[in-house]
Amino acid sequence: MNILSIKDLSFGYEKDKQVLKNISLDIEEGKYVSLIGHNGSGKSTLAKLIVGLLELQSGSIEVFGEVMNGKNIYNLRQNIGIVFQNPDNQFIGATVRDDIAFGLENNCVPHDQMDEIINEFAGKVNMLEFLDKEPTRLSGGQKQRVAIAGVLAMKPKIIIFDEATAMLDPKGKKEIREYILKMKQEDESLTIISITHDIEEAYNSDEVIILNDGELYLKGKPEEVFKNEDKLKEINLDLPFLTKLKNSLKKHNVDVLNVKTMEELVNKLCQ
Amino acid sequence: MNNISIGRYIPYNSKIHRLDPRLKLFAMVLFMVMIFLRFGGTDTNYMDFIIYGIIAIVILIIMAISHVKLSMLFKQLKSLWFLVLILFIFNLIMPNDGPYFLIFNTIKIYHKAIYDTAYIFIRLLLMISLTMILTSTTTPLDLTYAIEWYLLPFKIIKVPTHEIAMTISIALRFIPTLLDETDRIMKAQASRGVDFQNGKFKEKVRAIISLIVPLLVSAFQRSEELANAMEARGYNPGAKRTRYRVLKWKLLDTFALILSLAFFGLILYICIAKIDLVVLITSIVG
Amino acid sequence: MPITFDHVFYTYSKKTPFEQIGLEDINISLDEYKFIALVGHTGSGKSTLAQHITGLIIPDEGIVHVDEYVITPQKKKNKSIKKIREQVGLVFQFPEYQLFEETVLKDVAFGPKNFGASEENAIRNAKEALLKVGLDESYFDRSPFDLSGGEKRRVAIAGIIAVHPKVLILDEPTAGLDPQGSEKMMQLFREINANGTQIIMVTHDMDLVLEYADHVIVMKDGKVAKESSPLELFSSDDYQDLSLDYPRVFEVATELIKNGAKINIKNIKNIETLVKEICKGRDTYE
Repeated sequence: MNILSIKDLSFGYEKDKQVLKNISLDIEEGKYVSLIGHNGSGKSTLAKLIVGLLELQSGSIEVFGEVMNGKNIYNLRQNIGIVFQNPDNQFIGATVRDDIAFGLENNCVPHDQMDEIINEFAGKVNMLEFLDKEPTRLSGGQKQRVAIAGVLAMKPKIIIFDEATAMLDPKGKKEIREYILKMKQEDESLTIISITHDIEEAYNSDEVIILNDGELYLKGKPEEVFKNEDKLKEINLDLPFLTKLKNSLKKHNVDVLNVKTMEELVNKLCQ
Repeated sequence: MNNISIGRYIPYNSKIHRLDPRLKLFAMVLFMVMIFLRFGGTDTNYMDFIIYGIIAIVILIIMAISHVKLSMLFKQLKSLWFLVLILFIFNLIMPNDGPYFLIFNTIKIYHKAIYDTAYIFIRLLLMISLTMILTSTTTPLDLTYAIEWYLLPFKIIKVPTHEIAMTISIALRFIPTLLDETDRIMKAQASRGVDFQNGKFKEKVRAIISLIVPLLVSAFQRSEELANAMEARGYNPGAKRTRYRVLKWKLLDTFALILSLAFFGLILYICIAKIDLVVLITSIVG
Repeated sequence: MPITFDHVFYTYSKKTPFEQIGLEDINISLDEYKFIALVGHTGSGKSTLAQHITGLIIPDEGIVHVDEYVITPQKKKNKSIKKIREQVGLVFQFPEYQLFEETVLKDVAFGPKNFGASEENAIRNAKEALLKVGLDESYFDRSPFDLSGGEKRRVAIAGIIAVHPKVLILDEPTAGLDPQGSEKMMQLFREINANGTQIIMVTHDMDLVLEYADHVIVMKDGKVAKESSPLELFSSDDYQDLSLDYPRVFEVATELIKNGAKINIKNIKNIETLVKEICKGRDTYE
């Protein structure tokens, strides 16, 4: 089932400068989709349109088969969560506890249920011991974990990660990636759209969408998308490490193109 | 930047910390009024000092209960010595009469000048200690809620009390972030040769601009991203929402309220009825 | 350039409840290396160390020597800090936030002017620096705020190299850039380095460390945990205990060696050199 269906979507912040050009795509429920492309390719704009932070100019967005408009946006939005890039600028509450509560307050969750929900979701991202900490006393990774807890607590059906790990150190990046995978395991029907520069992450997702200069450039299963090396090179997009290594070996007439994992490659080279 | 300690919440689980912020705010107002009461009209009377002594003892007890350290107060005072000196000099050159003593046989030092300076200084000291107790035992957020509660009656005349409280709490949340940012930009510009301490007036203006412009640019970006984050999480200013933090009045608060009212009444009575405690005590003892 | 740390200690927010160790007994000498990498987890003290070199942070104890100048805890003795900053350029993380002038050219000329260059020289240096970072004349009169993130960062970096520093400190220069942008940025630093500017780079990216650095300093809890060449560091048994990443090519190479491939790990810096080694090994094998 298509949980999200975008048709002929175009958008521009200024009149004759289109950031998105005629995008049409469907996203199936329960998929982990990676959205990649250079900075300025329109990825974040697309995300903002999906959560209704920007007003549609032309084209349409359907969520659960319902066409998004100015009236139903508040209702539709309850099913879509988003984690942004900057850990500081999405931390609204004075403490971890208050920040998770913020979304609950907006959704009119009764007061006496809040503590239980806060504890449950703070526990899911291992932030229970930090519940009363202020954001300045937390690392970037911890703040993003709080953001995830805040989003999860609203029980959305789609979660968008808009370069949520870009400003984190390797440890924070790893943590967040693990939590995303964990939440996907816990709820298979959850749809994840991850806007990322991490080619390895894209390689391991269910589906890859590549935007270039506001246009839908490639879309499909990672194996298929990353097979189009010439097309990827054409827009100077990074390739997965393994692919880069294989290509480089190929140049030296070492043919390992059919291996799929690093282990296979090592085995093949050491035969 | 991290050395600013006035107005900073010091986490601790004392009885004072647990008091309802509405009560703390109210008690603070009562104490402020007490400090501004004058026993002897416009003239400084020694009874004023005795009353201040009593208030000071009470404040010291509260400080002890709330684990606010005296050393923190002295740290704040460091910057105040200069003010005291100016006050003193100012009082010296004011035309005065009454008893005086002489320095170098020429400069007249009136007793009243010393009195007045001491009076103002003590008053300042007491007010600072009070503010310090309030801010170090109450989180800014709780204070905001207390203010919102006091503003509630104004809701009838369409004052957006909730929005005001939300704005204040977000401002409070971002103060440390913006301080860090200021520190970072200052360092970045210092690396480009900007000297924030010395230099001619023109250079100083330039230095300030190199700090303010990036700070504003980033503050605008932050506010935009923050607004997006809030909206994405379902915030709708006009709509109904529930509250996580609810202020709860406890027995301890009632008890504290009675105590502060009683104390206030006592001081008020002494001042209005002009009871000279020294006379009173000597008459009892005698 | 001779940069040495002699028993340097620093504590953040000293004597407050938020006290935190910045540096603890740092003794290092950064004279003979051309490209130094400063690595370690967030909060390990690598940025603190970098900021000590240009006197943005003054040590609590110990001395930092930079060329013929010193930075000591006695603030009065630190008269040459501006001279140090002229010789040692520091590019902060996300330096695009320091831009403030109306035009790109003016912004880049800001640094040279602060360090005493004449208007004419400052503009000349700025133009040179902008061309070096890959921004041509068409950018000179544009507002820095209208540029893309990557371009803004280039302008900010030009603002530092326009001063012609002998040492360039880079605090995570590729953070937040897309892969293409990062690669271009590193290409730029490679050129600057080849032209004789010593580079000290704070980074989390071990691929970059292996490819570019000739010396690595690993920080942990404010102390120097390890100091060696990249190869020595990654090959050492206790590197694992630091729970830092391995460079990807290094991982592949060790895996290959474990499985009996004949490759010389010393020659491996990046994918190209790895592949060369693999081929060499196969040639001798066959």
